[in-house]
Amino acid sequence: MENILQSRGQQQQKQSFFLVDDHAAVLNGTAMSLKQEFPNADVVTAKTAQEARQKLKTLQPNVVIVDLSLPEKAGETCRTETGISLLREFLETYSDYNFVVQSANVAALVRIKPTIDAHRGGFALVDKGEPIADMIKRVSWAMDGLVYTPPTMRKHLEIKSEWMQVLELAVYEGLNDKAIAKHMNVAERTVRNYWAKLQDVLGVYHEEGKILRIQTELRAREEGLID
Amino acid sequence: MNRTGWKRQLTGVLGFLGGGSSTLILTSMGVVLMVCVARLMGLWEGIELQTLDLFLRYRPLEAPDERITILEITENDLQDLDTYPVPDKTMVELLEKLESYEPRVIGLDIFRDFPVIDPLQTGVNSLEADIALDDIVERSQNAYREFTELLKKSADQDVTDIVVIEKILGTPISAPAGISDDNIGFADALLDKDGFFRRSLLASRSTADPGNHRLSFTIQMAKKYLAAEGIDLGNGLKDPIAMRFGQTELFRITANSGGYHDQDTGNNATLLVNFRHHQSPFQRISLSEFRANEFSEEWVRDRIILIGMTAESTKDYVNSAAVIHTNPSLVQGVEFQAHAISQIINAVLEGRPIIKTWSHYWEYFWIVGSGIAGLSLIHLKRSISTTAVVFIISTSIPLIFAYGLLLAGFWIPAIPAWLSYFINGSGVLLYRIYDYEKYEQSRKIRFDERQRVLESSYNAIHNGPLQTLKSLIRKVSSQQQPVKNNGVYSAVSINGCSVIADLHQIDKELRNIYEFMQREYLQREYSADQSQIYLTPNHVIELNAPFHELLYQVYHNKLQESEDYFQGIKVKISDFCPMNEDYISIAHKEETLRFFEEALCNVEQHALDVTRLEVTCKQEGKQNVIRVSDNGSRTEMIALASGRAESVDVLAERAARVQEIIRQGDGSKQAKRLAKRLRGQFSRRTKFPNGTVCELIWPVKPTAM
Repeated sequence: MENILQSRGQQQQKQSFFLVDDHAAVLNGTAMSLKQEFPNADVVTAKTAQEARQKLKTLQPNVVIVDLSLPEKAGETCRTETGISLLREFLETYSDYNFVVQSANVAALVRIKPTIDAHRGGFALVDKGEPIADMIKRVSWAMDGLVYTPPTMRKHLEIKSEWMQVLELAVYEGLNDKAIAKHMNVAERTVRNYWAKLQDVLGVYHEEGKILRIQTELRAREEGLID
Repeated sequence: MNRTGWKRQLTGVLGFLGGGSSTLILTSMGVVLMVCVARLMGLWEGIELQTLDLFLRYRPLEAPDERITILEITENDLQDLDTYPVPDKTMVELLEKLESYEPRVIGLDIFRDFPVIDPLQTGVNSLEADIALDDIVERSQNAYREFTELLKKSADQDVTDIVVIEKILGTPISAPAGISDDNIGFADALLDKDGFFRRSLLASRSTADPGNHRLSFTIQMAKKYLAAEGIDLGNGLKDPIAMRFGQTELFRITANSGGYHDQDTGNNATLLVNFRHHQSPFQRISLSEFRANEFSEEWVRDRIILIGMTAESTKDYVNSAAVIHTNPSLVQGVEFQAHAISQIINAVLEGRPIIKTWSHYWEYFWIVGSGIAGLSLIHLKRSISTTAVVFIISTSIPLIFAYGLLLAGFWIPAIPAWLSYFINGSGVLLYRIYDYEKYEQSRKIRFDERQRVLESSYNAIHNGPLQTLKSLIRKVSSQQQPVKNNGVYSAVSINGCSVIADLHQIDKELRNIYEFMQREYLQREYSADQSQIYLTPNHVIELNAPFHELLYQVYHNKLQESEDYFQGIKVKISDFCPMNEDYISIAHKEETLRFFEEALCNVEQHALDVTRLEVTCKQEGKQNVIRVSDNGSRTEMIALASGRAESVDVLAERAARVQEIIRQGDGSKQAKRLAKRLRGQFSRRTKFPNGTVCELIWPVKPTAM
């Protein structure tokens, strides 16, 4: 499982994606765009929740891209409930995997926000109406273990105490990730995940020419999380 | 026009009557038909007669009749006389004395067809003790002769007429010989099949001599009384067989009139007796009172005097159920005669109603009409319970109507009409109940259908246009690099209009429809489901989901709902982690969610200047914890601690705050009850320096504590 996380330097490595969507058109479109961006990529697809469960057992993809509206079995009607249950199950079972949820109805995800918050891998949401370029960007963020949720989901700056603790230890004590991990008695990777969550809540994303950690601290001050 | 047109019209009318249900129509018309057939067969006769008696017995009281006085020979009188029958001599004395008071007509309701031997005459004078039996007989015959002479004289001379009785049906009993027919009336009465007297026979042919048409004692008495008023007896104008005094026709009751079925009338004129409704409708004088002059002269002058036996031992009683009496079914014969005479003369002179019946057409029209009225309840567009109340109250209407008409002098079928109303009305009620259930069933079917349609349309929109639109937006926006990254795409334009903005607009509109359908679908589907609760009308929570997710939904929903307040709180730390929910029931879950919602509301309502809100919902060791902690100051504390009351306003406000605290206390009480049910603990405590912690802790396993 560790190897998935060695995702930096993706250009050289061979990526693998697992795509779950019941729409053949979407499936093909997404697969094509991914292959354009990542020429060496392996793309496996599934059209139903059952099929997805079955296939993911044997796969170790860099990113799992799922639609929320899915049928349980072939021939059944698509229901958001089915997609949400599947996602919840995946997030709990494969807690280190990177996920991208591609949906026309992202608002439905609010229901499993606690599960998303508890997830330790990368996680990004993309609306099906957003440009392909944005979708590709989110996929690569998720591959980097980053977190992106749409503004509607982070309107209230809801944070967990662990994330707060990371922020406080970094800002007030000037500790680096390794020291924070030791202090909090967690893996360093977990600390990085906490940072990713915190950055998402504060709406700080990777931008050319800016230092993410400094940006995060500035935004946290702006929002009044730290003095 | 033609047969089909006529049929269509009939179907239309019937359809309207039954509110569209032909089954209801046919059943109810069948019921009405059965009621009518049963009546034609005479099955209702007994109950109709009893209803007539009952109605007559419960009429408003009338004044006693001041035209008739009964001179009665009571049991005491017989004991005084020490003999029976009343001796002729006594009768002569009685009649002579009566005549001296000049009554208008005297009726002798006692059979006197042969002399009464007076055994007392022997003992009256001891000197004549040895008088032979022949002599006694002779004396008696003399007395009888004297008696009959008196009767004859009354007919011929200018003194009060005396009418005597005879019996003409069955074994005849003749009146005293030599009296003119004008002064004789028969006393025969017609018994109804149930043994009660209701009718008065006015005229009849005698059994012994069928050619001889005789008048009854009743009619003779009335005739003589009314003759003095210049009103003569004649034949009916409407019904030539009936009798008539002036304008008043004595309504003839036939074998099948009214409720009667095949009653014996001897093919003669009979009258339904409209009993005078009073405890003592007629003035009475007993023989001894009369002899002792213990009566008022005006009780006799110009009145009808009926002389009759009321002594129990003489058994001159008839059965009637229509008069007020201690024993209503026993009426003295002389009183029955008095009622019959009184009815006629009062009808003629006072316009008191004669009891008439409707023609059969009207009777059956009335019964069918009642049935239709009962059926027409179907058109009452009210709830079933209202209809039931209206029906129960309205069932009395046919009876009240029949009673009212009886007071006006019409005897109409009360029970059959009531029955056809009642059965049809109940039929309508049962039909409504049945129909309601059927409606509910079909509503359920239609509802399921609707849900299916909603679901498939929902899926169609979601999988079709929404997806296509999204991919279109994606294609267009991917081709042109967006000018701004913030979701406002303006690169592609046709004649200056942004295509992407329009596409987003379509997407938004389509999504609105989609969300509306989803809401409709969820709401309808969940409303019947016990495992769903509504946070707000549009926000449904499915209780089957993991508990911490449910709690999060409540939290999220609250933040959305009171956005302005919670946006103001800088630091919101929340921790929603899976909890052990093996031992918590759905009902307790729901209650706990409500508690949590209430706790969040309390923060909003009671805490001021909150900068940090910590919400924890997770399992901590062997306990589940729900904790809401803020660092605000309590509004009510500020209010209460703000020193002296300076004005009435401040006092009032303070009182309001106290009220609020009390109300909040209620919330705590509920929370404590919930904690008890979960076998856990609830606490609300203040934090230093500021803030409140509201906490519900319960063990994962009920037995763990």
